Amino acid sequence: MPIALLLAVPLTRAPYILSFSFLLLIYLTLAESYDVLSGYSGYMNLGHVCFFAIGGYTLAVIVTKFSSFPLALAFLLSPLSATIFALFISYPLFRLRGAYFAIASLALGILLYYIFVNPSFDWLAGGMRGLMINTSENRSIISYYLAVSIAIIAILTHYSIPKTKLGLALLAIKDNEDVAKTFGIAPYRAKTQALVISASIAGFAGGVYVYGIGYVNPLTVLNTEILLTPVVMTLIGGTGIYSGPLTGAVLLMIIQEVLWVKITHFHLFIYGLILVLVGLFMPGGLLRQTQIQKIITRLKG
Amino acid sequence: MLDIHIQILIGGLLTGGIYALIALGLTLAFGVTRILNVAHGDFLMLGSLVAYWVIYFTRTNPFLMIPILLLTFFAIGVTLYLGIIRSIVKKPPETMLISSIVVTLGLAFMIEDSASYLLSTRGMNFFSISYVLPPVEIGGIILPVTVRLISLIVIIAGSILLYLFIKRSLVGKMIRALIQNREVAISLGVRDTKISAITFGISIAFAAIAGLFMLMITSLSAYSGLELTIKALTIIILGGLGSFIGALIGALILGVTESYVGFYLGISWLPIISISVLIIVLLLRPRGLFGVE
Repeated sequence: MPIALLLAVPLTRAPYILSFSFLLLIYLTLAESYDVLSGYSGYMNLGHVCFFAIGGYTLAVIVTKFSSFPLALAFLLSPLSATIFALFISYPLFRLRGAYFAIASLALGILLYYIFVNPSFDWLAGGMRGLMINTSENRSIISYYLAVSIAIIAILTHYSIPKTKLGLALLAIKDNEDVAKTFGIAPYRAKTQALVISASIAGFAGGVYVYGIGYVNPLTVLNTEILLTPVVMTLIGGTGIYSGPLTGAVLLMIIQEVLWVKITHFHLFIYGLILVLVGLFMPGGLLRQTQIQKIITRLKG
Repeated sequence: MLDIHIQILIGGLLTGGIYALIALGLTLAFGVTRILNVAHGDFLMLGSLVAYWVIYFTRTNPFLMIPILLLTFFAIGVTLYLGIIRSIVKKPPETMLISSIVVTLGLAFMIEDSASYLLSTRGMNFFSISYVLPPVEIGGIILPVTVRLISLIVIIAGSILLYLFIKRSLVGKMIRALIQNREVAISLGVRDTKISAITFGISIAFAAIAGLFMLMITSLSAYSGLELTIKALTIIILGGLGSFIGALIGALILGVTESYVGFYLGISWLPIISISVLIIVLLLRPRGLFGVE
C-alpha cells in the first residue's frame, strides 16, 4: 500500500511533491544505511555522508568527462567506488573505539569536504563550483523511481540484518567487543562487512541524488548540516530498528519543510534547538519512548 | 634561508599556543565529565565576537578584555553545565556520548545562527581587529608584530597558571581525581556537580580568551566555530583524550605543521594536512600520543 502510493507520486504531475518525495527518499536511504552499521554495532559513523558524496561525485565525473559511457554502468560504479573507499578506510577507522571512532569519522567527512574544495583538484571535481550534468528529459522521473528502489533496498537490508549471522555478531560487538571476540566472533570482519553494506547503499543513493538534481558541489553533499542529517534522523526515530530511521526521516523532513516555508530567519537556530531537545529527552529515539511503545503494542492488538 | 625557517617556526608556535588554549579546555572538560563539547569552538567565536564589539565601541586595549572575558565566560560555562550538560552526565554511558554530541552540536548551530544574524544586520561577514605595533628585530630576525609576542607570553603564562592550578590547588586535585576514576572520587567525597561545573567554566573561559587572540591574528566569521572545534578535537585525539600534556604537545605539533604547510603548499592544504596527521597518528597509536592504552 505505501509502495503503491510512492509509485504513484509522479502521476500527480506536481513538481513540488515529486522533488520533496525524492529528497525524502534519499535522506531516508541515508539514514537507514547509516543505521545498518551504527544501530547494530554501536559504532557512530559520523562521516557516513562520505560514501554518499563519493557515489555522487563518481557519477558526476563519469557523466561529465566520458560522455559516451553508458549511464546504467555509471550508476553501478557509484556504489562500487563508495565500497572501495569504505574498504580503504576500514582498517584505520576500526582500530578506534567509542568517542575516538566517532570523532575520526567526523574528521574524515570534513577532510573529504576540504579535498573537494581544494583548487588542486579542480580538474577532477570542479572545486567549489562543482560539476553540472547534462540533463535528459525524463531525469526527474527516472531518478525518482531509482530513489524508490534504493530506499526499499535500504529498508529491507536494515530489516533483515538482525536475522543474519552478521547481525548477531554486530549486536554482540555492541554489547561487549572483547567478550564477543573470545566467543569466536571476528569483530573487524563483521564491522567491515557492515560498513561495506552501508557504504554501497549510500554510494548508490549519492549517484541517484546527483543525477536527480543535475549538479554536485561540496556544499550540497558534504556541509556540516548534511553530514549529520542521517545521524539526527536516526536519533529522532530510534536506532537499531528499521522503522526508526524511517520515522525520523519523515518527521525531520516535514519539520524542515514547514520551517523553511513559515519562517524567514533562524532556520539553523531551530534545527539546533530540535537537536538539543532530542539529545536531552530522547537519545533512544521516538520509537523507544515508553509511551509510544505502549501505543504501538496496542495498535498491534 | 635560516631566518625564514625561524620565522615560520615562531609563527607556528604562536598558532600552536592559541590552539593549546582551545584544546586544553576541551580535554579538561572531556576528562572530568566525559562530555564531548562540539560547541567549544562556537564559544570561542562568541568570545571573540563579544571582545570585538566591546573593543569596537569603547576602543579599549584588547589585553584589558582578558579579565572581563574570563569572568563572563566562566559564568556562561558554569550556567551551561548546570542548565544543560548536567542532565546528560546522568544518562547511562551508552547514550551519553551520542547525547552529548547531538546536544552540543545543536547548541553550536544555535550560536552560529544567532551570531550570523547579528553580524548580517550590520552587513558583515568577517570580523577582526587590527591592533598593530611595529615589528621588532632581534639579531636580524624579524619577529611577528609584538601583539603576537605579548599574546604568546600571555598564553604561556595562562597555561602555566592552569597547570599549577590543576597540580597544586584543592579544586585542581579534585579535578584530577575525577579524571582518573570518577566513581572512586565521588565515593571519597569529591562533589561531582560543583567540580564539573567549575571545570566547564574554566574550559569555556579559556576558549573565549583563545577567541580574543584569534581575533588579533586572523579574522573570524559566525561559522568559524565548528572548524575550530574540529581542530581542537584533532589536537586532543592526537595527544590522547583527557591528557593535559598530550593536548599541549598536539597543539604545538599542529601549529608548526600548519605554519610550514601554509608556507610551502598554500593555506588551502591546511585542513587536509592536519587531518592526515591525525589519521596517521591514530594508525600508529589508536589512543593518541599520550593516551592510556
